[in-house]
Amino acid sequence: MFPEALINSPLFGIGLTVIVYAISEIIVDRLRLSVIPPILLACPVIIAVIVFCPSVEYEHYAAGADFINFLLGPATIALALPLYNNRAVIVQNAAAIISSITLATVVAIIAIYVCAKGLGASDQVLLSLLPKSVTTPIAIEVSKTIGGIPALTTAAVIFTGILGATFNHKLLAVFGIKSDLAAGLAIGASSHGIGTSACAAVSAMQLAIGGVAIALTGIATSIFAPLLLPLLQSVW
Amino acid sequence: MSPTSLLRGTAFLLLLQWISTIIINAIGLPFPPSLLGMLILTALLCGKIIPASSIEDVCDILISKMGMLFLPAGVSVMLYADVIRAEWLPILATIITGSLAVLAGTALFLEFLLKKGDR
Repeated sequence: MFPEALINSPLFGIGLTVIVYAISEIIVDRLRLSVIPPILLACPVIIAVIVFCPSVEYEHYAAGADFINFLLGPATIALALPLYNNRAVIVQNAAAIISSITLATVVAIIAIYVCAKGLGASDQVLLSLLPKSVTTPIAIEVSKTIGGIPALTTAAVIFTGILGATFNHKLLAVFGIKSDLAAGLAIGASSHGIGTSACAAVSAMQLAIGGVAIALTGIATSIFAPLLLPLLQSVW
Repeated sequence: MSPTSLLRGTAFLLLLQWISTIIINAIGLPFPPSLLGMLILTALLCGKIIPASSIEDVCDILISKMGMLFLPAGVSVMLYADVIRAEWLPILATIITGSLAVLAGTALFLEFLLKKGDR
């Protein structure tokens, strides 16, 4: 279906990512499906291309997709702009923000532990899921520290993010959350960068506080997870 | 939005990522260099060391299309299909419960704190 010369070039992975995403965006736009993030459409399409085209392997896609993935670095740094533009509100509510992040981190660890344990997950799976709410690089380090499988942690982190990008705003409306500060913080704390990226279309304030929440939750989880885990294990 | 400001903004973001990577590498902390870069850039903006206008254009583009940048990571989940298939039910249920608990807990708690502060 695709010639060798295309498949063996980074052009293949870069092109596939950008073209499929652009088409997904058009579909979401035309059908007024603003409720679903384009990544939710694009992701299965690309996986299907890799799985069902006999000449295409994941490595062919990754050779180009790595360039797109690399841009996440500069994009994360770019979150400094909304952070700066909303600095007054953030500084003014610093105490409330820090206590909410601490609560979010502790709730995440306990909820995940109790749920995974109750459903009979193996110890390795449980430990891999524990840091799933934080950004991938930190989650992988925490997973290694407590004895999880970094690959499973990565998958859980990404799945959490896509789930968050899809449902967060709907759920927050159900809970009756009106403040952008509370919404952004909750989104960043529960579904890191992928969830927060869905705030770009909603409010700059949510985006800014989401960026803060990603950084703070990452730091808090790397401190609390190794501390709380032995405590939970001694209880159950 | 001018091409020159885009180029200079991109150059500046990449330079910041260089510096953050060097710092994280020197300290040996398990912290993502790009998050350190975000904190450094915020400090530079707040200290009026660089004007927001110099990086505004490139930041706006990167942030508004951030969803696409996560697409390769989303596709990479297929690599872990075997691990996930083995215990898919506890994995799925835990991810949903955990996300919901954190989202609801954090949003309701912070909104409560903010309302209390107003009074």
